[in-house]
Amino acid sequence: MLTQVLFCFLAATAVASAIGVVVVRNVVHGALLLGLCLTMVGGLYGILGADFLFGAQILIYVGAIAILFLFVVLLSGRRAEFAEKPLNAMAPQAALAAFLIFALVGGILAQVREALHSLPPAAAATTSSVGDLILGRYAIAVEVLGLILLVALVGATLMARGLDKERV
Amino acid sequence: MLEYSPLLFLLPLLAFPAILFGWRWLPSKGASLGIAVMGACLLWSAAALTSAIFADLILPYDWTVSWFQFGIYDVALGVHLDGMTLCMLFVVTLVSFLVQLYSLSYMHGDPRFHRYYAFISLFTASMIGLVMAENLLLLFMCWEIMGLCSYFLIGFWFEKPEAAQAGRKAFITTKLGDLGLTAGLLLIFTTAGTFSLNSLQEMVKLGYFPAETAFWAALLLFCGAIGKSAQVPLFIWLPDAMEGPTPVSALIHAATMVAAGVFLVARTFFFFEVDPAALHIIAYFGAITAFLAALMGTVPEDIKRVLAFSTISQLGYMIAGLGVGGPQVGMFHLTTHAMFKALLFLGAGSVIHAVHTNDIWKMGALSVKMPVTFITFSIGVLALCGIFPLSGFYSKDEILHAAAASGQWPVAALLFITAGLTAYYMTRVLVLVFLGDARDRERYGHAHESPGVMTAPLVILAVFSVFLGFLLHGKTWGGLVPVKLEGHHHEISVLIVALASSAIAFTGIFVAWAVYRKRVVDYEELRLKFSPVWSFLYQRMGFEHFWLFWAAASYRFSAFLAWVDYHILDQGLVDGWAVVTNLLSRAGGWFDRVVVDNLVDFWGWLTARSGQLVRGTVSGFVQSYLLYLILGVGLILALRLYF
Amino acid sequence: MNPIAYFLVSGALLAIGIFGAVARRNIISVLMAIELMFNAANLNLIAANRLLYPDTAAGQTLAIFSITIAAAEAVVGLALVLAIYRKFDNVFVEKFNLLKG
Repeated sequence: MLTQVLFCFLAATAVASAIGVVVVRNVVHGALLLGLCLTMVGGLYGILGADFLFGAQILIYVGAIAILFLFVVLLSGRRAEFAEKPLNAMAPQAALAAFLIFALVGGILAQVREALHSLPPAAAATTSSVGDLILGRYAIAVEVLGLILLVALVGATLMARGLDKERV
Repeated sequence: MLEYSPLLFLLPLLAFPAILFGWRWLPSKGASLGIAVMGACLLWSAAALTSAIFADLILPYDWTVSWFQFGIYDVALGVHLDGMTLCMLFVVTLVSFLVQLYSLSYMHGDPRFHRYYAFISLFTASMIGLVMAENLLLLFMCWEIMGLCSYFLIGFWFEKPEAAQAGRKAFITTKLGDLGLTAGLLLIFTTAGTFSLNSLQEMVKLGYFPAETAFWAALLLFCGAIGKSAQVPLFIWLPDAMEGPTPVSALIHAATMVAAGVFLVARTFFFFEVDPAALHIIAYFGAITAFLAALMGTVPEDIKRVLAFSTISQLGYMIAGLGVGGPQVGMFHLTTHAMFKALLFLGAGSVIHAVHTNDIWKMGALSVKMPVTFITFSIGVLALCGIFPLSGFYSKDEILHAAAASGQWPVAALLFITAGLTAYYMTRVLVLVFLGDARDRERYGHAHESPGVMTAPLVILAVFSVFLGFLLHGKTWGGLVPVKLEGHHHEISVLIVALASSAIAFTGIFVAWAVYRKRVVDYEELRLKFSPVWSFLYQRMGFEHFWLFWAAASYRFSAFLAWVDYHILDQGLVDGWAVVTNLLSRAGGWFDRVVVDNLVDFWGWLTARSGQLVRGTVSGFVQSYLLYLILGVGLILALRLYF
Repeated sequence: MNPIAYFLVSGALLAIGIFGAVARRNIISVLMAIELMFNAANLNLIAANRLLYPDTAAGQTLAIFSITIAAAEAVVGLALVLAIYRKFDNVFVEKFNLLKG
């Protein structure tokens, strides 16, 4: 019962704040709403029993990415731009496409509805099994991922500094 | 030495451009080159002829080189030399050489002196080529080059309208005969497939050539001779050809142009031999020509006209001689006639040079002023009259004897009368020019003997006129030209013929002497009394009018044809087709414009429109691309889900 | 608790992310919408893991990888945003139309 109430709260807040992210005029507000939405999704991870993911979501997304967005907004934006229209001319088509995708997802779920009547019980201590997988079976993938992160870091640094000769 | 014979043709031929373009750098304006070349040719041909008569020169000599091939036919460029050819070459080169020598003085100071010599060289070259040609095609080419040269030389003083007219007349009239010659060549080639005279002779002899075709070929070839050798009815160009310089007249009348026709008949005589009818036809043509021309020769007052009619008359003799006696008879007269006719013309030129007129009524008593010319001219007159023992006697007697022996009495009678007439009109000229009183004192006062370079050729030709007949008659000439017609119907004594012809000639001389020297009758009165006859003869018996009538008729006919061509063919048929074509192309144009063009435009429009439509999707907005991507994914998903 | 609800939330986040990515003018907002779609995917992965293979944690591991990639993407994207902003002096996507045909 408590789980259901919690889920309803988390899901409703997540969806509402997500809508807020894509419609609010002020991007600073958008970034803050993104942080809220990500937190709520992290909560959903939590009630699904993925406790490690819950922590990772809060730390990485909310603590790093959302804040990064906020920095960039503050670095690049101007007050005048907040007064302009947030959406472009393709908004109706975009809404239609989004609804189409949502309807298709709904369609898929309708087809598999009978198979999904209840959730199995959560396994205990998922963190340790995640750790086993990361350092065991998927160790090479994790190494590659680290390489990707390194490249992204170096590339982001270069691009953010600018490629002009005099600035190097 | 005979292997050098092609040079005989090539040297004068090359002298033509050399003189025409290089006269500035040649001594005496190019005349020296022409005379030197012709002198060399004369030496060669004299040596060849001498060794042919007195030594054992192997004849005939043939030399050919392949010229061109078409299909299975091989046309060769060749030289054929036999006794007749060598003799002809000697005559041509001698007369041409003497004429060129003579012209040095006669043409002195003429503004187109070098052109004169260039054309004389080309003229002689073409005659030499015609004589030596082994092949009818080459012969025909030389024949036509000669026609061209005659046009240039007769119309040499083209500032005078009469000279230009005469040049045109000569060219067109001979061309009329050449039509027949061309047709004859085509007939011969289609029948035999070769132009080679030797092969043709073999074929005719062996009977491979159909006799009837040979008859028609002979007549067609004779058409060419009628034009070139001035036979009735195409002789009208020759009297007018007197408008050219007098040495040219000598060349034309003695050695080249008119001799070519006679030579052609002699050269292709094997065609004529096949059918006696062909021989009869040419005998009658010759006899009639000889008689009519002699009649016409009795009236002109122009000394050169008289000589021209005399030439026509003598050419008629030669043709008749060919018809009744064969090449041996005809060519003998051609050879001797060349000598004394050249002599007479050059003598006449000398007189004209002295008194500056052609009118014999303005001359007279010139024997005192011009003794050399008088003596040589008299020799020429006597030779032409056929007085023993001058050369004309031998050759004329041969013809008369052959005519009498052949049994064709009309021919023989005409020729005998002609002999008398010839003696009459030549004596008339001689008396009026050189004897009697000087009718024009002023001209007489200025007259003087011509320089040595003019009288020397006269003397040389006079010597030949005296001795050539004696040298060549009988066996010598028979050795050179062996072709003589057999089958005489009547045995008739040579002596009787000689006596008869001499009697007739003396009668002619006597009558002329009596009328013009002794004045036993007043010739002016006589002329008035017989005025219609006189003017009929003076107007050349209406031949001029005859041809003018035909020219006018053919002009009207071609005007009518032109009218038909313009109004019916051009305006009716051609323009009618143009209208039809125009309408058709309008319809085609409409179809093209409306249907085809619109189809093309439609495809262009379609492409452009669809391009614009698709272009609208490529807006450059990355987000629109994202939208398409999402729609595409959605489409695939929907397909995967529901289908 | 019916597991379809998790998938529905995931689908809703995805649709909202699509809308934002297509319709927003501000490029930073576009990047944020992309983050929303990443989260929808992660939620999907974890819910499916729990639903189908509760004994293993492979789906969660995959989600970790996804999060890592998303972080790298966000970093690079934001760096691009800064670079573009310096070049165009603007953050509106419709101005970046160098690809226009």
